[in-house]
Amino acid sequence: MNGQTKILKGSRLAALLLTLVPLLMFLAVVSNLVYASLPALTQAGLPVLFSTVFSTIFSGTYVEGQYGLTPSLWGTFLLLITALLIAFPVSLAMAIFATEFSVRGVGQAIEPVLALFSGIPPILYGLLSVFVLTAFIQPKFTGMDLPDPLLRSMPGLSPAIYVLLPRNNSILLGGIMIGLLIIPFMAPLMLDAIRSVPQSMKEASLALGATRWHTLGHVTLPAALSGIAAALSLGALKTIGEVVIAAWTIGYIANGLPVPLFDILEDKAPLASAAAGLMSGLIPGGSPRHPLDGSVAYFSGLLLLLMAFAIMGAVSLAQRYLRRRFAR
Amino acid sequence: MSAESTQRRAIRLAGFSLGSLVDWIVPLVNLAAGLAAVILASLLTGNNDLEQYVILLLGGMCVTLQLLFLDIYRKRKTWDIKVGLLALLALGFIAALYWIPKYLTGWQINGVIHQSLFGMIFLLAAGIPTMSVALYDLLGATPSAEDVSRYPLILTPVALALAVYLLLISQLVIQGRPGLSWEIISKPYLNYSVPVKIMIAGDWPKWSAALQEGVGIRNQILGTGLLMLMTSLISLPFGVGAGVFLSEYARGGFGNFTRFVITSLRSISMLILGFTALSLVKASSGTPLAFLFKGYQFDGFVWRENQGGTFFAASLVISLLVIPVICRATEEGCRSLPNELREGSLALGGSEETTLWRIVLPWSLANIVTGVLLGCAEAAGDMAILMFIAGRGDYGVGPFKQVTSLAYMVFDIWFGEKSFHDTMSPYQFSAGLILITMTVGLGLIALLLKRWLALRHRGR
Repeated sequence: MNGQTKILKGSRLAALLLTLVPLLMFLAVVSNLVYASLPALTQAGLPVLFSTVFSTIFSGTYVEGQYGLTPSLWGTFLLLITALLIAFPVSLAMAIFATEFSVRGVGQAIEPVLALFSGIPPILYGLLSVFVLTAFIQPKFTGMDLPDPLLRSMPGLSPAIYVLLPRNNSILLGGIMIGLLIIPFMAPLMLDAIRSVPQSMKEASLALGATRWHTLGHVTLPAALSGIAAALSLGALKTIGEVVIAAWTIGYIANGLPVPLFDILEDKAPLASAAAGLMSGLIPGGSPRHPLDGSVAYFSGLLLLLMAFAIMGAVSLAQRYLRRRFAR
Repeated sequence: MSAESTQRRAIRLAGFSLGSLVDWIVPLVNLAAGLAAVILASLLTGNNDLEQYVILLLGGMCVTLQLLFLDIYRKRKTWDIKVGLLALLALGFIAALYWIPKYLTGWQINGVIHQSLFGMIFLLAAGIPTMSVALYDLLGATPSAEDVSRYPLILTPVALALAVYLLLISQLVIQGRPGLSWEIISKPYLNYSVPVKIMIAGDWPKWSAALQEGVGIRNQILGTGLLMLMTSLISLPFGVGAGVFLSEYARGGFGNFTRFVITSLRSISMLILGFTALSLVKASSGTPLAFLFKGYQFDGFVWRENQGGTFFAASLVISLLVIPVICRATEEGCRSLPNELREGSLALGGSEETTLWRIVLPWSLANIVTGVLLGCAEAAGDMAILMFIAGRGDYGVGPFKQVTSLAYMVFDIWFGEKSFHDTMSPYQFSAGLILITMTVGLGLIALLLKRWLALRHRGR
């Protein structure tokens, strides 16, 4: 639009038309989501949707129409924290190893290896979670080697003891598997961010007598913060949106807040898998049990969409601030 | 002079050689102790029995760190307070391990935490710094030694994470390899009734239903292939078109909006797309479009609508996920075109159109092909979109038959019907193995092809 207007024709028109298709499809996806979640808003209402009671066929007494999404929102938050706490240090270390602290070119091999790992489908992390469960979670967190009566007589156990032993779903397991999923996506972004810091900045620091480690901590990483924030946001988006791993490792149900509030050993389903469970009526290949169930599931999808937009917006604001702060 | 001075010289020599030996040995022992601590910590993840060695090793580290503390004073006449604090930390860890009960419960935590978890954390927390200070001392306490001394901190998480990936993939291979056979790969899973002619003596032949049964994953493998093919065919024109539009023509607000939408399509939860697929299929049910999205199956006697949706519906929705990949790749390829080439074409009288088709697109071919291959891998591995519409592929594979894929099968064996679980659970890991071979193989081909095509079309 800078002064000269060009006639739309030929490849220009074709490119525009081809671009319009995904745009319209995206708008259709969003409007379908909003339209289908309207019944939940009008019939159930916000107070019901954000209560902490979520009645399912597995929750003792099944009362239709109790759709509390707060526990699953909290579960999403706990899962996000766990996955990022696992994935962030590892991917940062990988990025540093591949760029600034590479050992004789070995670090360069990290990048193609990560590209291959990023092709592992999420479903396989779900399938392989059983090995993490038996090799780490069970020996460390379930008191597996204790006889059952002794285990149940331990002081200060969770009142929901029945979820403890026979079922081994936990937010921790989901966080580990999702962390493994997002490392190959986060590390390359951090790597690019560190690599794109101008060489002159690093050399100025080194010439002033700083060590490579000091340069990394005080020059390179601050300058790369904007890219690192982008990597974090990608990890967060992938974590909150992940359905399959969450369903496999945590389950479909979030009823009531965990006790204590930061207990990541409980199986509070995040929003994505709770919505999937609602949509399938907690039966494989099933349909919603109640007409409103499907609508509440769509509303959960809408919440996920809003959360994704919030994360994207927050990160772009943070990036703008960081660029101004570390202007180069 | 003679006897005494010889004796003194001998003592001095002995002291010197002893000292130089100590120079090396004390930090080396510390390095070994730190390494042992990290290795023991990683072994402890799956093993509660090794816990007895934790205190032993921490105690050993405490002693060697004190030796290092004294050794540094002997060598450089400074008290390295970091090493002293580290020794105290190891001592504190030992005390903490005595204080923590073997099985920790309380505060209504939903679990019984074994003591060795803390042992693991303590070993890592003491082992990595010990290796650092030992390396620092070993390399002569210079600034460059400080750089090298940070390697344990960087390498430990990298090595542990890579080890976890390799262990998981090797487990997949170990569990999946025995189930793989030509039998399984070449046969479809069947569990439905077909009409068969029954001859009854003295009567006309009658048609009756007989249950067809079979164990195999052929349809899932073919279905994954079909899904990849259809998705890439659908998303290729839109992805390339959007990429060219974004890099060549898009200006101002509309370009920004397009870029936002393309980013959003990658960022939104796949659950939303799964719901979209479900809505699409449900909306088409009962209308003439049901043929496209819902599909029909012949269940022995009549044609009726599928339970879920067709391959076409699934690939249409998955292409929403793949279009951004191809678009991003195309845009990146177009942007990397040097301005001289573009200007050269325009200067020789090439129109904008000619430049696009003869210069820009061939230049970005490497990126486009990579994008398509990665998109294929995405389509093969995707499960959330198929979650509500896929089936078991009983009725064959075709663009308008019910969608099925290896990824959905892995999920379905775990959560699906009991009969399916019982028959197919030995082949769950085999299906996973084939799936990972497909997706990672596509990634590998993409990696190599990008290099090769870039070499061919760009000369570098």
